[in-house]
Amino acid sequence: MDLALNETQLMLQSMAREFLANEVPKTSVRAIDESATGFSAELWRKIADLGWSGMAVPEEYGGTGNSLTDLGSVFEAMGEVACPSPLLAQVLAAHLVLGVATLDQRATLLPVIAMAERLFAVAITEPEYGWGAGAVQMRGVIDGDQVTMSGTKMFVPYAEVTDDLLVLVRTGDGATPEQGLTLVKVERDAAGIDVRRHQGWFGEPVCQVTFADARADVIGVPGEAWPGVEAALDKTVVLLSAFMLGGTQAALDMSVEYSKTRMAFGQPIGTFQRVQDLIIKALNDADAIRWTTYEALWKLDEGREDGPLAASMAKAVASEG
Amino acid sequence: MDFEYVYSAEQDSFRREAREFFDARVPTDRRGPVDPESLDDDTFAYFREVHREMGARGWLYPTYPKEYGGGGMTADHEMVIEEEMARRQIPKHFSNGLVLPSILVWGTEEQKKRFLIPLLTGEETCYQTFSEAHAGSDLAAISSTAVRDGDDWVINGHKLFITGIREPDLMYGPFVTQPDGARHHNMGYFLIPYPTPGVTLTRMTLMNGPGQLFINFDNVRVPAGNLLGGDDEGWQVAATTLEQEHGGRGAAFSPDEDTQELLAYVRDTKRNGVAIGVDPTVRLNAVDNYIESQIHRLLETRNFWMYVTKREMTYHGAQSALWRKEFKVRNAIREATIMGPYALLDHTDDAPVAGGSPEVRQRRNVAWTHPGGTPEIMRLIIARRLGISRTRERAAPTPSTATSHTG
Repeated sequence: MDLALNETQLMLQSMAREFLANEVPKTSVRAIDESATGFSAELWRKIADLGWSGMAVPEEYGGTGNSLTDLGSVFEAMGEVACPSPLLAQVLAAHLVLGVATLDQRATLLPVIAMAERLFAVAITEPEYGWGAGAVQMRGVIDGDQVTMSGTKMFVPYAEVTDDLLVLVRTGDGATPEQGLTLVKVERDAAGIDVRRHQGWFGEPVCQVTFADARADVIGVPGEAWPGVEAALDKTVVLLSAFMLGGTQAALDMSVEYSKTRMAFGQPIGTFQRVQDLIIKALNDADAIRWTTYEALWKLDEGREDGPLAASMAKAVASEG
Repeated sequence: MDFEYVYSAEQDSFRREAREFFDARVPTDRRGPVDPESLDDDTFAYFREVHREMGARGWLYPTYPKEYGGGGMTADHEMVIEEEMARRQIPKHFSNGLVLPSILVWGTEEQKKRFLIPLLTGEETCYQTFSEAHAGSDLAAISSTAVRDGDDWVINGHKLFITGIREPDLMYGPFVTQPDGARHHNMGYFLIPYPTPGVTLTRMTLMNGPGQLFINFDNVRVPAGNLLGGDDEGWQVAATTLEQEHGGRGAAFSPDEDTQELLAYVRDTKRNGVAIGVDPTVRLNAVDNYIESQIHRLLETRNFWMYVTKREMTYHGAQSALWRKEFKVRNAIREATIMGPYALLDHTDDAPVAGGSPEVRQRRNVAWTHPGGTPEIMRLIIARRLGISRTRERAAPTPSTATSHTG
C-alpha cells in the first residue's frame, strides 16, 4: 500500500504547476473564457509542446505511454488554475481510437493526436439526452468504409475550433442498445456539418453540431463500437474528476486563507463557527474527491474489474460533493 | 500509487492460524449477534471467555509489548486478527481500551506492569469515565474531584454516559485535583479499580439500549500509584486517549455489512410484483448509501497509511470520525426511506429484515454520534488544526509519534 504519487507523478505535477503559474494566470483564464471561441490556440500549442497531448498515447504510436495516474496528476494541477484547454477532448479521442480503431487506423491517427497536429472533438450526446448506449439514436448508413449520417449532437466540447470530429452513430439495431453503434471520423469543415456554440454558463465552449447527409470514415468495426467507447469514457471521466479535485482543493485553500485574513466584528471570519462549518464541508468534499479519484485511477491502471464502478463513483462525488 | 494492502507470506501463514482458531472456537451459530450492545448473559459470558483465550495468545492487543501482556506482534498481525473477527462477526473485546496508549505513553514502569498486563491479557476489562452531567463536550469543565489524603487520593463526584455492557474491573478518567488551578492544568488522570468502596454503577436506559452507565463516586480512595502522569497533567494524558478515539489510526479494512445488507435487500425485494430497484428513488438512496460508505473506507485507509508511514496527521483523525458519525445517520435515513416501516422491525418480530439489524441501526446510528465527541466537537478540532480557529493545536502524542513521557 502506498497512497502517495510516485516520483514521476510528483515531477509531472510540479512541472505542470510551474508551467501553469507562468502561462495561465487568472487574467488569462478569464480572457480565454470570454473570447469568441473560448479557445487559445497559443496556449494549446504550448500544452502540446509539453507533450501532454501524447501522454495517453503508447510510445509505439508516438506518445509517451503514461499511466492514467500520471495523467491524473497533470489534470489535478490544471484544475487548480481552471486551465482552459481541449486536452480532455484530445485524450478522450486517444482513448477512443485505442479502444475502437483498427491497427492501421491507430497507426495513422494516434501520432496525429499525440503531437496535436490536429485537434479532435468527440460528439456523443443527443437532444434526447442520457448516458447509456440507448441514448445514441442518430442514424448513419454504412456504405463501404464510410457512413452517411444525419441528426444532431449536443454539448460537444470545442467543436467550433476542432479539426476533426469523432461521432458515435447508430448504424444498426441489435438485441441490446449496445449493439449497432459505430464510431466515425469526419473533418469539421466537411459538407453537411453545421456547428453552433451553445450559449450559457459552461466551463468550456460546448456546441450543437448538426449533420445533414454528412459523410464520415468508419473507425473500427461497424456496429461494435460501444465497449471501446464505454471504456474510453470511464478513463476520461476520472481525469475530469482529477481536474475537479484540483479546482476544489484550490477553492478550499483560498477559503482557508481568506478566512484567516478577512476581518469582521474585529476578528478573522475563520474564528466564526458558521464559517468554519462551510470550510469543513469543503474539506470533506475535497478529500472525498481526492481519494475516490485516486483509487479509481489506480484501479483503471491496474485493469481491475471494478475500475468502471470506481470511475463512475469518483465522477459522481466530484460533481456533487 | 497502490491502494491494495499486500499481505506478506508471514501474514498469510498467520491468517491460516487465525482462521483455524476462530473457526474451531466460535461456531457459526454464535457469530453475528444482532445487537452487540445488548448481549444476553450467556452470549456475554461466552465471548468474554473467547476474549480471555485470545488474550492468552496475545491476540487481544497484538501490537502491545509482550512484557505487558500484549502480543509483541506487528500491526500486520493485528490486521489479520481484526479482519478474521470481522468476517465472522465476532464481537471485539468488551473494554474501552483507549486508556492503553495513555498508559504506554505516560505510565511508570510499575503502572505499565500493574495495569496493562490484566487488561492486555483479557483477564480484566476497563471503561472510560470522562463525561459528567455538566461536562461532556467541554471535558475541561469537569467538577468531580480527587483530593490528596496521605498516600491516597479521595475521589468524589459522578460520571455518566459511560459505555460498557456489564461491569468493568478498571475505570479511568480525569478528576479535578486543583479546583483553583488553570484550565487544562488542574486535573489528574486516575485509574480506579472496580469494585472499590464508594463506587456505585447504575445502568442508563437509552435509545441505543442498556449499554451505558451512570457512575457515582462517594469518598472513593485510590492509592497515589493510580495517578497516571502528574497531578496537573490529566488533560494532557486524556488528549493522548482522545487522539486515538478520534480515529487517528485509521484502518486498512473497513467492513461495510450495513451497506451490503441494504444492497441485498434492494436486489431481492419486490413490491407489487416488481423489484424495488426499478424505482429511481430507491436506487439513488441505495447508491448514496454505498458511496458514503466507500468514502468512509477511503478516509480510514488514508489514515491507516499516514499512521503506518508516520506522516504528520492534523485534521485527519477528527475528519474520519466526523464523517463516520454523520454518514451513518444519513444512511439510516436512506435505509428507512427504502424499507419503510420494515426498517423498524426488531429481532423479536416474526420476520424482521436481515435479522432485525436495520432496526438496531435506526436507533444506534443516532446515539453513536455522541460517544468520543459529538460532530460539533470534531468540527472544532478540524478548524483548530486547519489554523482558522482562535485556538491552534497540533495532534496529541500517540504511540506512533511519542515513546514515553516518563523516559
